[in-house]
Amino acid sequence: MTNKKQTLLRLGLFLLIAFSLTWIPHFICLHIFGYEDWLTSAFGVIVTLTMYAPMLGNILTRLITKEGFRDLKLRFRLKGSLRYYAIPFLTEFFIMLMIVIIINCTHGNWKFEALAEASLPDVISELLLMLMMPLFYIALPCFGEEFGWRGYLNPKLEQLTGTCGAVIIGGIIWGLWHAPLVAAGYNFGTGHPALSVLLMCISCVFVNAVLFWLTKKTDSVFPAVLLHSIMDLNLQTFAIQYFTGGISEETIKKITALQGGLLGMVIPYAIIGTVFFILLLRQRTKKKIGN
Amino acid sequence: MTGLAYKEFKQNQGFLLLTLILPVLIAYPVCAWFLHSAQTAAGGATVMELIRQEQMGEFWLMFLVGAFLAVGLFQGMIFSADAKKVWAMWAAASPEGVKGYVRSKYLLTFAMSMIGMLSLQTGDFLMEIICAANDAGWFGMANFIPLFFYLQIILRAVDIPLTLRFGLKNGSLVKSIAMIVIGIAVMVIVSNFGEELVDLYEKATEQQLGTAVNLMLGLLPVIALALYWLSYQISCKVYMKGAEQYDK
Repeated sequence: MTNKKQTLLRLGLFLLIAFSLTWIPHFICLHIFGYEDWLTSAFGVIVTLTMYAPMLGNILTRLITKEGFRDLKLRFRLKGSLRYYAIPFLTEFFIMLMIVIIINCTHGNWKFEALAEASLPDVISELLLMLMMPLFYIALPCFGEEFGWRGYLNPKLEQLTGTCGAVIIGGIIWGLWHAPLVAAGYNFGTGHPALSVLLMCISCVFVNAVLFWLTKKTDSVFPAVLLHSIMDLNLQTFAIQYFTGGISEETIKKITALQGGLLGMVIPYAIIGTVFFILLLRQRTKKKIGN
Repeated sequence: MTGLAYKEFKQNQGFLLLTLILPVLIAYPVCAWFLHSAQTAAGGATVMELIRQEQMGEFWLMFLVGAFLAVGLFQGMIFSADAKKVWAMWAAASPEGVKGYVRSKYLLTFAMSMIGMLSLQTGDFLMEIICAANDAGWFGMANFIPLFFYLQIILRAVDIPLTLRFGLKNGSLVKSIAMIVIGIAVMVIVSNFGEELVDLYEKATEQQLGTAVNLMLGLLPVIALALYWLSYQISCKVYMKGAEQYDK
């Protein structure tokens, strides 16, 4: 069997495991509980548990196809790559900054009333509590995702389709993996399932660029785990609470979940993802020139 | 580093497994059994009735602390196998050196804290499901678990350099005494002021308490991680001095 065929086979098996261990429980729970009731019930923990599916896909694929456990990208690489662990925090800061700019330009008046009323220590402590307290807990399921997507899927796709293909196709696959939840209303609300899944795929392509760049730079999944964890903490609510103002109740009622997702997720991710996509392409060009 | 990590994993598999299983057992089933026994002896309500009436919440908190103490105990035991002069010399002479060896211990200790946290959070979810199935609202320990996780990191940051410098036996003795004292203190405080503590924490998270407390809570993770890193630096410096006290 050629290398390409073998890689395709392994990819196929990985995707089968990752998708079936996620989609099946999601569809069952959506059918039994419905979207809202499921996420607010104790069974909402199943969403967290299915985040480990890509990790299981990685491990089981390697075991079944006898690929072995080389190049797991599990080294921390703190020596010489410590600065890459700061990039997730900076990235999230820029995402929050862009959300603030977008929302104030479209709906707000650049008057931060909530910030003016609160004290600086209270604001700082709220941010720290939102960021640091759950970080190492949420890092575990995020590791489950990253060990699969950036630790296995992207490198395999890069072998087949190159860096661009890995980012775009990997992002689309990652977005489709969220499809049952997103179509039911996650991130973009209800009413537009197909459009929501499309927007999710677009967001995932851009976030994939950032996460893949971090993984390639450090040859480790851990910086990507850190960024994924920070992004999942939903610090955008903090930014919107304190750094947007003048949005009337009428406007808030008019903004749909879809528009909110577009303004608060797709556009900022697209901007930051484009920057990292360019960096990835530059890195690839440098390597080609070097060779 | 990979070799050291593999060696730590193989050497401490048992402790890792115990760290995954024991905390969730201590914090939830053992506590439930304790409450059941106490209530049965007093002719009182069942555990589920206690949960429904939101009574005895402080005992769940106490056993949660006990679970973290158990994790702390296992974390201390990972130093025992290597407390030999020959090993210390070998570690110092290896390519990774003392820093690599000490780093592997710190990473394993941190990983054990995270595994303990995962175990307890899983138990918390299961309790929520069980209570929901019995029409009861679970207290929810989810907010306390990360707090105790960071406090444990701070405790480890303090005791690992002591263990490495003064030897395992002396270090274990000091730690055992400290754990007993802390355990008794926590039991006394939680038994007498359990509800007030829960109120205090709820107010802190709802930002009704003073700004200083909020800031301390917010800074706690940062302080814990900084202390842990500082502790690692200190341990690297004192490791060889401590190794001189080891048996051959």
